[in-house]
Amino acid sequence: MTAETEELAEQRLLEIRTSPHIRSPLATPQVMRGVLIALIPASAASIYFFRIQALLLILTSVVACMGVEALCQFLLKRPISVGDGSAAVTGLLLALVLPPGLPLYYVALGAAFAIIIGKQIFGGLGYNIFNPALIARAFLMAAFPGRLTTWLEPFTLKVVGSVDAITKATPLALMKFYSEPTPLKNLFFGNVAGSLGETCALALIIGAAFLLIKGYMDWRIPLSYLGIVFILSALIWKFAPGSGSPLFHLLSGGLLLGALFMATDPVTSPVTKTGRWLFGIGAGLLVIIIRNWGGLPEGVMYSILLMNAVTPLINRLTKPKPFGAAK
Amino acid sequence: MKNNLQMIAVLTLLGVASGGGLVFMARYAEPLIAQHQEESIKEAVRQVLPAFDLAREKIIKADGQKVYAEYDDQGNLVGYAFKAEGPGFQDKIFIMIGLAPDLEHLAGIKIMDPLKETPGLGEKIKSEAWFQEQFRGKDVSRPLKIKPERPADVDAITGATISSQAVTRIINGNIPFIKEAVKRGSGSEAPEQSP
Amino acid sequence: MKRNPGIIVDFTKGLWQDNPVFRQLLGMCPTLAVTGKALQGLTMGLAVTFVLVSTGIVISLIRKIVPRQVRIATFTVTIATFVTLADRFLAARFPAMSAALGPYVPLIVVNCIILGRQEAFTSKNPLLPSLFDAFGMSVGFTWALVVLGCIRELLAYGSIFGQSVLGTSFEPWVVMALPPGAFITLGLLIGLMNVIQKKKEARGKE
Repeated sequence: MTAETEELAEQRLLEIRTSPHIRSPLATPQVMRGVLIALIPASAASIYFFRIQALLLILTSVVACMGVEALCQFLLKRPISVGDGSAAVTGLLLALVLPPGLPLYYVALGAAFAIIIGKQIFGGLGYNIFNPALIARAFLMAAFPGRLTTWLEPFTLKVVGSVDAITKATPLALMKFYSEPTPLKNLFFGNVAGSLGETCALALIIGAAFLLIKGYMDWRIPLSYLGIVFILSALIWKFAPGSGSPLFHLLSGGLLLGALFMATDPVTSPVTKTGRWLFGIGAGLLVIIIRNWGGLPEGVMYSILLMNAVTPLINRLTKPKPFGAAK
Repeated sequence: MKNNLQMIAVLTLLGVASGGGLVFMARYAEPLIAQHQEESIKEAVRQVLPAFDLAREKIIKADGQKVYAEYDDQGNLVGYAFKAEGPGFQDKIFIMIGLAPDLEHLAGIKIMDPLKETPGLGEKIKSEAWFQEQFRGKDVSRPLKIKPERPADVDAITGATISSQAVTRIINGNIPFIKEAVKRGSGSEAPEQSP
Repeated sequence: MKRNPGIIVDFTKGLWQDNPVFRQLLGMCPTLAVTGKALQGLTMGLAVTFVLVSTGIVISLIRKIVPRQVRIATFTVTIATFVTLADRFLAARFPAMSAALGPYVPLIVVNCIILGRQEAFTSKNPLLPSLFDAFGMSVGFTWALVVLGCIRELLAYGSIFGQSVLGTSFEPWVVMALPPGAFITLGLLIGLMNVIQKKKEARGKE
């Protein structure tokens, strides 16, 4: 079915229509493949730091997401579109925002939640309000708060599921609760405790650069998001040096992963350019507020989810007026 | 006019009937409710000051609140108990604070019902017994410190830092009041002999 | 005897067709707040049953002597009286349950189902249909709360009505004991009801 329509579209390459013209978006499978490639460095880094457990976690999450998606579409009698890669991206992103020591049962549960509640219930790809991977993480966080806030020190996990691994607080928690700074070098290369994919800033930047060059990613959201966090944390740092330097805030926690790969999800972020600036600024503000004055050390997940929720409003607010239209 | 009278009549009758029903229920329920409350307080006092004898209790009243001075069957002071309350993470937390006779050490604490902290998290301040137990015998001549403050007198529950801190804060906040109440009320009368 | 089918419909409509929770979406406050455990849901359901049925009897009996202008005042006084009776009784006899339900028993006063039924039904109908209507709505409300309570208790505590079902190895889903769990469960149940209803209607048309 879908292959046929694509062929048809390609045959009618020369088409003339009256305005308004909307530039056709890139085909879904192509973008998804790009995102998967862009996440390879971060995945590789996580496997390097957290060994076989990271690999198992990623595999479980991706396979579970794709399986549940296929099953859902089969049961709902919708066309089965697992091949478009969106479920794989959701699965990979979910794995990358989970703590390395999480038992695989919870990973599979989160994956099922991401696809069923996060995506298919709304009508499938393109209709979901929230980023499926993040909504699943929020669910797991609310359901199993203890497990979702237990972090491992890199390289200490030897046997899968064993309790040998050494737990350690994340750099943000160390800063917030114990005023203990983490060397920026460790944050940049990823030798710190945290979610699978968030620890290594270098790997995330490489992946994002690939997406930018390929034109698969809009730069406005990451720029405004990271920019606001940088500026505000610099301001706060000036008055309260215990709050952490702006570079520390940029490199620690899930900020880079969130800003580069989650906030830019085209389905759940605004379509207008102004809207994207607003989205990034709002998310950045929320991160700063939660990190500095909230009960939690990290706020990237909630900042993006909250901005997802107001995205329809932003779209409506920033919708360009047709030229000459009456007020 | 007739309509007005009817309105007044109907509402008056309904009001009287309703009032009558409520009085009837109050007569039945209020003593039972008061009894439950008293029992829950007694139970909590028994847990923070184990050796006391119900028969010898002195109630010190201060600012409309009650501090219980408890004695054993020989008439020796066992300690003081006070039901304190304060904001937790979700709702108020009620704590029975037991103080040793020297007023400088905690005899024990008991988190009371209703506890509305998050199930599985904040609620652990009650369900995990070690948390309440660790307060026994702690020196409270200065405010208690809880992790991550250093040096910490007591441990916080992982994932329930805010509820744990609330407990410490409620205790720290109420000890001066208990001391003050005991000092003001002390030496006035011998242990009350309740029937 | 002729009115009997009507009376049966008065009763059954509250169970499914016009279920107060799943179809009318009324009384959401207790529905979401007290269904963390099945027993709490059941108690709340019974309390609402008592208030709804008692109020229904009174309002239906006095419907002819109440002037239109003061009917809402009459409803409110009657409802408030029965709610207070239920609340005090619970506090006197079941202090633990009363503490667990907290302010939600007194809040039955503002439960839209109760005022709604008086305005829509009992103030216009004789005693018998009013009774059946009140019972139907009450049972509909109660089963909805119990189902929600069972699902949430099972996942949040691994038990149903306090009886352990899933064993000790089950790790509770804390979220199900919290408001988000209530919203998720309710949403899924309403969706499920809609699917069943659509299927039913589709079959009816064939």
